[in-house]
Amino acid sequence: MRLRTWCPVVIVFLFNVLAAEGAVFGRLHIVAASTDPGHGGSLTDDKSCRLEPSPQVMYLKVGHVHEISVESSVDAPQWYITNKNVATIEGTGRTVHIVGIARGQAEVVVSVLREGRVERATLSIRGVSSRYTVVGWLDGSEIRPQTVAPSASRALKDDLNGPLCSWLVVVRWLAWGSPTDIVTDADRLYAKAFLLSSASNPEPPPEIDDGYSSQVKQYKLYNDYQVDADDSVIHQSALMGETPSPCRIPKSASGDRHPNNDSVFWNENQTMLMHLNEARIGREAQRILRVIDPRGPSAGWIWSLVAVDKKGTAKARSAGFPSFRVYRDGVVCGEWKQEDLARFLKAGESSEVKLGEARRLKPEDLEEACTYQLR
Amino acid sequence: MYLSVALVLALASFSIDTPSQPDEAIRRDLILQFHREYAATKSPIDRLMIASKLARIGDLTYRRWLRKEAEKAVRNGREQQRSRFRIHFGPWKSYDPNEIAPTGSSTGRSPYEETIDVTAERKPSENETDVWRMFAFAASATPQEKRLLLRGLESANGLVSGSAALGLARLGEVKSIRDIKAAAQRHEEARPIFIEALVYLHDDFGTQTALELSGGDDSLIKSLQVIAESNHFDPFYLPNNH
Repeated sequence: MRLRTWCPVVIVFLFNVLAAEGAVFGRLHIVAASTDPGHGGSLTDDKSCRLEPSPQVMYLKVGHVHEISVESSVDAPQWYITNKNVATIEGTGRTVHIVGIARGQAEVVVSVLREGRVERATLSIRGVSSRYTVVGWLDGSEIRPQTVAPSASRALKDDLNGPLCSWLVVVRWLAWGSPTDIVTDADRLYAKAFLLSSASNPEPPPEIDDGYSSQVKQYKLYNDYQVDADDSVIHQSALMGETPSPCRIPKSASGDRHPNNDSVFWNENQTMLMHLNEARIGREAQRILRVIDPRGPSAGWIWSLVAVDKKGTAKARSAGFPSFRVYRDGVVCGEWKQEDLARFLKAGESSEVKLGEARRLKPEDLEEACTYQLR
Repeated sequence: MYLSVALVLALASFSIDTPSQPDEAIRRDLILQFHREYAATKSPIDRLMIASKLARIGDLTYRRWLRKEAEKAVRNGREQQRSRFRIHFGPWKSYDPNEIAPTGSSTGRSPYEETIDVTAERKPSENETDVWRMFAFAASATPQEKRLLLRGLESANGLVSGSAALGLARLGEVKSIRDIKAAAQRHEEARPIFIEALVYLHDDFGTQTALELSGGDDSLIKSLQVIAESNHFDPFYLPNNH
């Protein structure tokens, strides 16, 4: 009795398993091979062309091209795509190219005539954005305290550039809280420029991989972002670098994270999905800043904003300070040089980007994330 | 008539010497704030600094502790100077003069005993703590405590010695100019601190000595003079006492 009840269920199950393996309806599969130089680039966990066995799904980045083919020895396969806004098929025959156009979902269907019977195979396409990484780094070569404040006092210059730099900065400024050696505005400017220049980063490389994010002394900000077909996020991290201490003190301090750091949000007219990376110098450095310039502006915020629209193209915006470098799938594709140091120092709190303001941004308020040609 | 004039003058001088009401209120607020900060922090460095700031505004709660910490720094500085000592091992067994002597034996001594010279080095963190100790003490030392500062000046640690020199400068101890100069000559790496201390003394002989120590660098001395003046000749000057 029990066997009679379960038998049809078992038969249906076995039938489905065999069908999935191609045993019942023949072996018609779509095989994807990447022809995109960016594919599998230096960023690991790259989902630009991931084929999952069942059901077959391909992650296709906007602007990227992949080769797909049908493996059966059949003639004149017919290809079509269900949503031409997401991708297009180029070419005919057993091997064609599929080009990512926009974020979204579609299906590529191939049909062949074999032994008088039509067989079909389907490949699901997820059109995703490229992976954008914006690295903020302090270019020390652009900050020369002597040029910024040539009239600063001799004693201050000697102390900061001499062997007793840490004695002045750590003991007297930080621990005791006394603005020793600081008398004039030029002294204040010199001291700030000196502290910033000693916290500079090396120039980011032309290509980065996931390991770069853990090298916290290489950057000030690290904004990593990739958006999926359905507006969910594939990659999202908003990190702050560690600031090396001045005066060759063997210590680093982490920055002060903005409460809105790592926020993902839509702009008001729902055209762009944005990711914010925002931070500033850490508590100890802020304390030193208050000591050397108690009436001056507080520490300024640095930030970068990456916005991906529904098509999957990216725009970005950053604070004018420090320098920023944009990477598409791990390869540098654009950059912004840091603006005038004095302007950043004067801006203080006003350099902060607020979520409300960011939400009101329109595409035309942002710049193209990538201004270089992909290599 | 004369009596009333004298009374008015006495009252006037009293009002000059006594802090005004708002100043006293600010001082009391500061004392409360420092006590709160002291209770809130566990960092020994922060505690030393707060204790010193309290002493500077007349709250002597931690005065004895500060002094003891400074004495520790002085003691450590002295120990550092005497850190070379000898250790004698053996004899490990009775000496037979006919036996072939092991290598490394000293002349006229059993080969089974040995004397070695040991140079002890203090841990860097302890040396650093000594600097904080002396710095905090020097920032709030009273003229009665100048002997401890003079002992600090003799420290083998350049920054401890430099902190003591700044403390002496704060007290206007012009009699210590020669001692400061001698300390500067002992601690080449910390020489700028001693030069600064001599300038803060605001004394012709001190300035002359500072100029000499700087190798005749007139522009450096002038720059230090401007700074010292803006800091009211207090090397530990704190705007608004905090």
